Amino acid sequence: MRYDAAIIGAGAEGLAAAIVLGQAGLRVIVIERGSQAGGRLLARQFHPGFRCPPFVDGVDEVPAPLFWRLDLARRGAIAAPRTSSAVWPDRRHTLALGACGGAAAKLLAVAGERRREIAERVLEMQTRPLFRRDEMRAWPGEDWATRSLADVLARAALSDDEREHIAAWALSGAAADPFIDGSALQLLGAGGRLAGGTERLAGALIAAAKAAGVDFSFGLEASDLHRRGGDRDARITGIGLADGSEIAARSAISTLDLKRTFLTFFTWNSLPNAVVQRVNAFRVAGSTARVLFALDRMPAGDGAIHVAPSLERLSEASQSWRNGVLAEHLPATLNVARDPSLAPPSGAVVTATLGAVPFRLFDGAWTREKRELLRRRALEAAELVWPGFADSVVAAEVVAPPDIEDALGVTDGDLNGGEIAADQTLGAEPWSEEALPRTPIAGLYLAGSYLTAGAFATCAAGAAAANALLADRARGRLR
Amino acid sequence: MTGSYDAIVIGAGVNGLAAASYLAFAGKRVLVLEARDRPGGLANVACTLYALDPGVVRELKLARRGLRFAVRDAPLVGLRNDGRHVVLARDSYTSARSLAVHSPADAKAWTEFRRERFALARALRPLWWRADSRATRAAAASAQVRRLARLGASAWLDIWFESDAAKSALGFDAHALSPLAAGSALLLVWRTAQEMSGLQGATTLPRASGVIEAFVSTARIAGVETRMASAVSDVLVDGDGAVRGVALLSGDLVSAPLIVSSLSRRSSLSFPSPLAALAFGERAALAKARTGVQAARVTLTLDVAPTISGSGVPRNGRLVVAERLESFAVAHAAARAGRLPEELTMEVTFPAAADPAFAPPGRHLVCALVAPLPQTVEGGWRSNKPLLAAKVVAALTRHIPHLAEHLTGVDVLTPEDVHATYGADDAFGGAVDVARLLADWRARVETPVKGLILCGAAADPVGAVSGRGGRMAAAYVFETEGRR
Repeated sequence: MRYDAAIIGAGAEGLAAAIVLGQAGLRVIVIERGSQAGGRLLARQFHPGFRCPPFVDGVDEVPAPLFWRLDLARRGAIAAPRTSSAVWPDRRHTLALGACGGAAAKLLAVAGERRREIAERVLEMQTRPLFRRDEMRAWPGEDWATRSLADVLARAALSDDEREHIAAWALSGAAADPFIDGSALQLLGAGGRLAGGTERLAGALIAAAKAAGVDFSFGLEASDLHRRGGDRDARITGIGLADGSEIAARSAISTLDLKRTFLTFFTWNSLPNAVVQRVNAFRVAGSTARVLFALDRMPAGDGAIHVAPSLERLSEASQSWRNGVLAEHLPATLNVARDPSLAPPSGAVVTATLGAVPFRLFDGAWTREKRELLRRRALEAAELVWPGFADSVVAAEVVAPPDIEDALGVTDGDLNGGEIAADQTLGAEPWSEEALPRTPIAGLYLAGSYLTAGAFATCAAGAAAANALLADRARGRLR
Repeated sequence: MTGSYDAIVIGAGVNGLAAASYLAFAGKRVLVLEARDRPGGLANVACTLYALDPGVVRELKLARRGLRFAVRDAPLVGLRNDGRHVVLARDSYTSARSLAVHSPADAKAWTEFRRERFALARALRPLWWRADSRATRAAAASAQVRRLARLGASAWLDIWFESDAAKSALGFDAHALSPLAAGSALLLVWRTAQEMSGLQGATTLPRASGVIEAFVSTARIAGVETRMASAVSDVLVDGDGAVRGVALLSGDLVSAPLIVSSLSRRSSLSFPSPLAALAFGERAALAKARTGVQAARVTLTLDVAPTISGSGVPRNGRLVVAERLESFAVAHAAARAGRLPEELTMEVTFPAAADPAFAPPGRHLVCALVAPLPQTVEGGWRSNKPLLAAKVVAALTRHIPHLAEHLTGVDVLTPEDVHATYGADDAFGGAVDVARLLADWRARVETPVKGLILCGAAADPVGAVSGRGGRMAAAYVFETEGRR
């Protein structure tokens, strides 16, 4: 059987792309090397009886129009905003994101509004031909692309606590320097604004995909993109799997990150020079480590808790990270999982998200001792929030950046699939002359989270790629 | 001593003198007030010139008043600890050959990089040079500029080059921002867009006497009155918010309906009366305005001519000391945190090799421009001065082995000294960022106080010894008068 489209990767983006294409009547297959769909949304058992999604605490919003189009509400997906607090040794500050007052609320509302506008623009752009004036139209939030986070916060008339809190929230798990121009973009990219519910979202997406008639192939990694024809009019004919078999397909959507997409499916000399150069120059910035704690009692508190944030520490951590050094003070965010299905009664799961953790350490591999260091840093952070925390720990698992790369296939363990920097987002990436999800390879589309929409919203990059594919088919570009 | 003039220019630096000359040539009675006892301002500190506005040179006929350069186009040299120095000259064969030692790919990329850089500079020139708003807006909105405005110098150089040698040598020209900052690539293009002695992107070394004297004699010919040792204590503002003159530290009052200040925006508006005249929001914005990157000048006097170990380093070049491009990022971070950077990044020239008149007979000079540095350093600049000098000497001894035994004198001008002596807040007339680089020129010249305009480094996209601020300020005055 020959498919109209093969989608590589069954994460949220891949599933969203599959649903959009399936609903449009195309024959679609999703190729996933794991044994089930859901990607980073899935929870995993890390200690008998204790489960949690190992890589994320929550997800970004699915843009509202897409949420209805994918028909997720009926299938049980929920969107509950997450609260956020900042804890210092001597005080604590809480923001119910979206419901706090004053200048902080205004800033967060602006960031949220811009994120929505970006996602909607990306989705809308793909449904019609690209006009020249699109290039001239400024992206929402483009002014942040050239300003530093510290500067934006300084001008927003915030209290010191609010300023440090919002900086920690925006940079949670990241490694950007808040004093460097361009870091204000992190306000758009701050991940995990929704609490929990990742499994429900995955379930809803899978159900919607099944209802749309999407096929799945599990357990085998896609390893080749088969093409036929000359350099200029080469067409995709199918996807080669790791065992040598082939799935025939006319087009492909890759949800892998940019580097992996091109490194996996092509040899350098088969690609145009400009593509090779651009892919080489694309920067990934793996900076997140996670420590999963199984507890024998439920700690107080809710949502994300940022520990002892300060802009100077974030800046210092960022510099250490650039040099491959684990900083003295890692930015830490703690999260109490409130979903009762994740832990046995009377138990609880707490995750610590550490930022500015280098993928490559200057002194070699991620050994057991260095992982132990991460666990200790996470414990210290938790002790500050909940004195006596260590006594309640039943088990702990450390997820270092290389583990994220292994599990999710993202280069350098970068959960965003690419550094959120002014020059690689908001329409500037990876090749600005093409419409966003399209590639110089006819019939190959990108839907990784590094694309503008992907970094700022869930499912948007996948849906945008599917929209582009449908638009190209309608225009007869793909046969 | 009192008096009444059409315009008062605060500061007899290159920009102040240029503004005064333009206004005086247009028939105005102009008074220049200088706090120090000699003119020139920061031009006294500059070891290299890279941004002298060709419009100013032409219109004020500076060449006729003795403006000459000792070196017309100083090659850029990246000093490497391993002795394999990189020489980037206008001649691309030399440059490519010296890059090839580090990376054949970089040698190959050099010509093309230069071509792209020059093409971008040409495209952006209307934005920075022409005083025409429509061209400015069109240039600022182009996709090319928007891409560049978001690009860090490190990202841009990473696309082209793989060796630290190439990237770190080129990186110094973007030191007004961290190479990681969005828009720092724009600084490299800004540097290239400058035209010196008819060459795009050239860096010249000045003559010992020449630049300041040319501006001074032009001002004299234009009929400008200049008063030295006349520090301004306040800009007088009348009831309806327009300036009416200045008060001098000596207590004298001089009246004029137009004050052209070559101080930074912050300093100009921080005189008591203008500050009081500002609206609350404007005052708050002023308080939050960031200062730019700080620099220090360390001048070493030797009793022999300095020679660089390793092969083929021209003595008329500008030598950049920075092992890696990241050295600049690290130094910026240290500077922000108020620390002296571990590894100092600097640009070194040998002024006396270019023009012997710089040094007394038998003496030779090594001039190091060290940047970025903190504005205030832990322990204060007074106690860090010897440390800074020692670090510069140590860094240079690596390349000039005989430096220590032939050293006869050290002169350090810290950021604090620059501020105390020249009244400059920083090296670039305020923080440099993309907004400033792409702003309409009028926004840089005008202030909220009626009749008070800026002509100093603050009026330039990136402050420099350029005279452009003076030209822009004068253009602004003529334009507003024409409208009236």
